[in-house]
Amino acid sequence: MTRRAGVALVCAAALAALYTGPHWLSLYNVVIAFTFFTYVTLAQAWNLIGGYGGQFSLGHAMFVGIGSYATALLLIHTSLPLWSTVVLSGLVASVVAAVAAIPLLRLRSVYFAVGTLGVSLAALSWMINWGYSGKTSGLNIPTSVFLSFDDLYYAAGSLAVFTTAAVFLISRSPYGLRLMSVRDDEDAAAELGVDGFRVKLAAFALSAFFVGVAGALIAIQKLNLEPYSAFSLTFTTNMIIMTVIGGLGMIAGPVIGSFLIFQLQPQLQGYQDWSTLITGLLLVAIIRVAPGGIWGLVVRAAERLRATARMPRASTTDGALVGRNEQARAR
Amino acid sequence: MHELINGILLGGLYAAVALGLTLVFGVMRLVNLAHGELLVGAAYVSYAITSHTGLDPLLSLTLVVPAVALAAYPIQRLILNPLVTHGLEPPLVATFGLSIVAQTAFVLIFTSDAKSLNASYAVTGVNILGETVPQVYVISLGIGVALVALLHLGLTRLRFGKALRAAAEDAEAAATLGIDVKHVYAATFALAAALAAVGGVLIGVTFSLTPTTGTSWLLRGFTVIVLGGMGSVWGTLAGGVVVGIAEQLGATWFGPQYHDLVVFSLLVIVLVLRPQGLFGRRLT
Repeated sequence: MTRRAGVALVCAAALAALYTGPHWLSLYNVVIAFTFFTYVTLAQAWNLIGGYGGQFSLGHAMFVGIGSYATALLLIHTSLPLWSTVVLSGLVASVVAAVAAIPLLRLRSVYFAVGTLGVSLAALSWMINWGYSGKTSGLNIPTSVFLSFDDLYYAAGSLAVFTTAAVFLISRSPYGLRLMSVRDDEDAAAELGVDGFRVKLAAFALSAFFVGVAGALIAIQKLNLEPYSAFSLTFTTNMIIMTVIGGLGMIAGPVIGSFLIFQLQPQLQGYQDWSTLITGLLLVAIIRVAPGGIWGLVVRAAERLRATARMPRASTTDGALVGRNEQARAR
Repeated sequence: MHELINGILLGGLYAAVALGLTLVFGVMRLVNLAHGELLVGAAYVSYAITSHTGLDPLLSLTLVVPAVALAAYPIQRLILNPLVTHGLEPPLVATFGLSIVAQTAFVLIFTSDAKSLNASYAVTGVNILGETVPQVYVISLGIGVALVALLHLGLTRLRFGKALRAAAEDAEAAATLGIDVKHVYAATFALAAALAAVGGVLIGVTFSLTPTTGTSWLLRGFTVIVLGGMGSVWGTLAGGVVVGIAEQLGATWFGPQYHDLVVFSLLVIVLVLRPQGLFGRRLT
């Protein structure tokens, strides 16, 4: 009970700090906070399908690109209000994801990973050749669309909070339980009447929605887009690195991972390649030494602390037994 | 006709590219997402050697192959071996991470500019059935077929090949029979890297390299081995030829600017329609 209250307090304080951010952050930090928030959104969305769903998507960069291009095309060709183009862009990404998922999600594990990578690269080569979207020269967001740095901060910040909350609620819902059961053993889940394909499809489409909305915001912030950067595999790479380093399939994982990578990058300003090299090495090291990521380490350390705190005077043999039971229950 | 000849010839190159991938999958059930970087890395090593010494790229293989194999052994032994028993995601993440690290290292060492390995046989043509094709295409087919045949012989005749197939069949049973499975796995990875080195140098001579070229070759290699039946050695050659012809035809029908799109769509179509491969699946 007290633990829950503590978590709620921390969340409330974080929200208050985020909400008042533009008042106490420097302009520079308000600007770069946008990028941080989109990172959190992207990583958290990937975490839904990659972490909770166990589907190692290598194609998520495609949904960033689709969200970006959908927003640009909607703003150019329609007079819809800005917020609705952003939401629509997410829906477009989601629909494309659902259609692509019909063949892709029949593939398991590695086949799915390579299949999504193939689709993502196919989408990039399509965009390079598609006249309607300006081929390699891309598109510009109409000049009538202009958001201040504060607006962008709040838009991306709300999206990051919304995505994190949504993924958290999903992970605690009956649906989330089905999703994780499919991840852990699809055949066993099927025996219990869980339709793995539909469960995964929903997670994939939802994940793509958040990524598509983030892509829309990225396009509005950048004001111009071209296929190589909009569909860049770097997006996929970042989502996976941040989630895995923070903690795969844990709600805090993507937030911690994004924060860490985000802290690392300015340290190596002007050495972009070195920063990528270090994050890549970090990824390999984490998966080799601590597959639960940083948050996994924290959780384990906290469990051990609590287990030892509860049996201060037990004899060694009893202590070992209690400790084991505690650990079993904690799991 | 033109497409058919080019496709078949390139099929040999594709087989050389994909052999290492199929070997690693066949033995360890591991899909090496860094396979493209093994190819490209070997080509870069060859580039470094040939641009300094003026050595012929194919002759440089005598140095490149052992170098790449030596570098690959500890990667499997120290990083991947402990992960292959941990389900599917950890080895996938690890090889993905390795591919990021390698790509970035290529940028830092060789810059992002496109490089290619220069050789006279890349520019001179030969006449086959009335069609002029680059000499290197013919060489590639020869090398591809030779590698497939040698690997098949090695797996069936050599003591190590038998140990390798035993480990592929049932690692635990192989271990109880006294086979050092950890060493076999690492040696398999080194052998795969050696095969990839040949494929990579052929890519460097025939096409060109950038630090990120590996990704599209990984996908092409994967298409080949899915078609050939994951883990099948002769199937790899057949898969290579099918992909080679399909790519040439696709580029002719849709236009050369859709070349990449054809390759990646082919992968998805193959995965969805024939995940079990066209030609069975078994290590040799």
